[in-house]
Amino acid sequence: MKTSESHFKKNAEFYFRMTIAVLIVAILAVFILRFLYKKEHKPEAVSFINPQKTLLLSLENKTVTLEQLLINSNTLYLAIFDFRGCYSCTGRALDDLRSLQKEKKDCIAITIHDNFNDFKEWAQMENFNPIYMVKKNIFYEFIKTPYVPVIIEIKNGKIEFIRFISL
Amino acid sequence: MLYRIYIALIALILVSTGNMFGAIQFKQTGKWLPKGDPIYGQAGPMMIDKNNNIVGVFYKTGARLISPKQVIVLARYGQGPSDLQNFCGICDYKGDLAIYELPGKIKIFTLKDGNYTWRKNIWLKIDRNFFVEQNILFHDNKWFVAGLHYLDYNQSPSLPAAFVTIYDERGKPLKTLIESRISTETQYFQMEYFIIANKDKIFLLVENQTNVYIISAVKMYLEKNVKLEIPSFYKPMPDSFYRFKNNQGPSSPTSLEIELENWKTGYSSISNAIIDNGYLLVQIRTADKRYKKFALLFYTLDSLKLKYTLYTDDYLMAAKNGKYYFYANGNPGIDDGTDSTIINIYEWINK
Repeated sequence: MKTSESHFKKNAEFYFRMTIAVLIVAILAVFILRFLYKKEHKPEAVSFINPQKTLLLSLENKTVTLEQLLINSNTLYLAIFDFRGCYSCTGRALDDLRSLQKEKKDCIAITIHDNFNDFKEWAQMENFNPIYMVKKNIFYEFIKTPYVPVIIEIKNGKIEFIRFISL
Repeated sequence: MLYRIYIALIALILVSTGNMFGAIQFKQTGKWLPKGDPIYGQAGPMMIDKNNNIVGVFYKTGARLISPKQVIVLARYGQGPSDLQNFCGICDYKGDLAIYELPGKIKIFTLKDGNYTWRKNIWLKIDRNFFVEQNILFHDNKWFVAGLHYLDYNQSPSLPAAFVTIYDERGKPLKTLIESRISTETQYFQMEYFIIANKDKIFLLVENQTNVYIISAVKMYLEKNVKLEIPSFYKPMPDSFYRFKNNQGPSSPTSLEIELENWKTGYSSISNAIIDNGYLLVQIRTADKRYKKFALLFYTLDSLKLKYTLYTDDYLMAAKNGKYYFYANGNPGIDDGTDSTIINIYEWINK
């Protein structure tokens, strides 16, 4: 009787220790994984629905499609923003594009706006080239992004990396 | 001796009954009941134009032109030339009307056929720092923009900020003035700033402060910071005000609007400040049910001494040539009883 009681106690103690050990390993694994893998926005968060129909206006008031811009370079950095929104964020996006331009990278800025003269006056003051305007309705219909400003790295027409810019 | 006491008593009676024998009184002399577009948002900066109509911006409602007979839309919401969005400050610009649209655009409107039409834009060359400016003034060929303008957004937990940013007429930045450090946990940018011209000086008052910053308009430096005499009921802003409370989450507009209403009415915040008729008139909330909603503090312009304290339920909108224009029953969007647009006009009258 005594032997079976002590056997039961040993078993219970073994299972208890095993459970604790498994829990500790699981918690440690979660912590390590959280530190190892930083949360990144997946490129799928941004998409171009129909680049052939996404009409943009240049500073010269000429219409181009997003598709035309995308096929012209192998690697392209595209910033999309609303210059009447958070100006600190817009400014950072443009500054980042300028830095990339210094490294001889292809960069394009696209601002969401409805008034061409307004866009032209502002763009001339900001002095960044090349820059385009996309009307709000076209932006909402054909460009899907949860947030602007966003800088998108496009390789051979495919979105490789995105970075949202905030304060 | 008895004769002297009699004279002293008579003098005392005359002084104590001064209001009845030839003293001046602040009295209502007019009332407008304009029809037209309703006003339902919190009042922002306002002015009296060339035709003695009220021009003002109201949160959510938009820019409105209020005449004795009607309220009309000054500019629709939008991005077109004559439209407005993210508007805040309003001021006179060489006889035209300037409305500041965040970020960094001043729209100039000209009075034509009884309403305003857009004439041109002036772009301020703004920096990369976060700012929420609230008011604007054109004086001595410069733009004085008042509000919170952070100077370096990378510092924490408190950020250096300026209350006044000065630009030349074409929008080139000249100087920032009145710098302090603001905690990142606050929403101090929701506060109101009042910027007024007095000859070659610019007066700046901040909603939660009881002092006047006096700036030299020509030399662009802070000349004086004058502490104003305040009435005994004055209730200062509690430390917890203008801090994030997040009742329904940080991005909930409903929670922010409720908090804004509580903040504005919860202490003796300055609701407007105007210079006219030799006085600096500061309207503050009493935040005390024993009194009416607001107190009007008349300070003499030369010495900034408090001369009169009056009480009213009406919200001070603007003043011109000795006439003070009030929105009846308070600030629309904040106070109850403001559903109809009623303008009460007050003047100092010799009785």
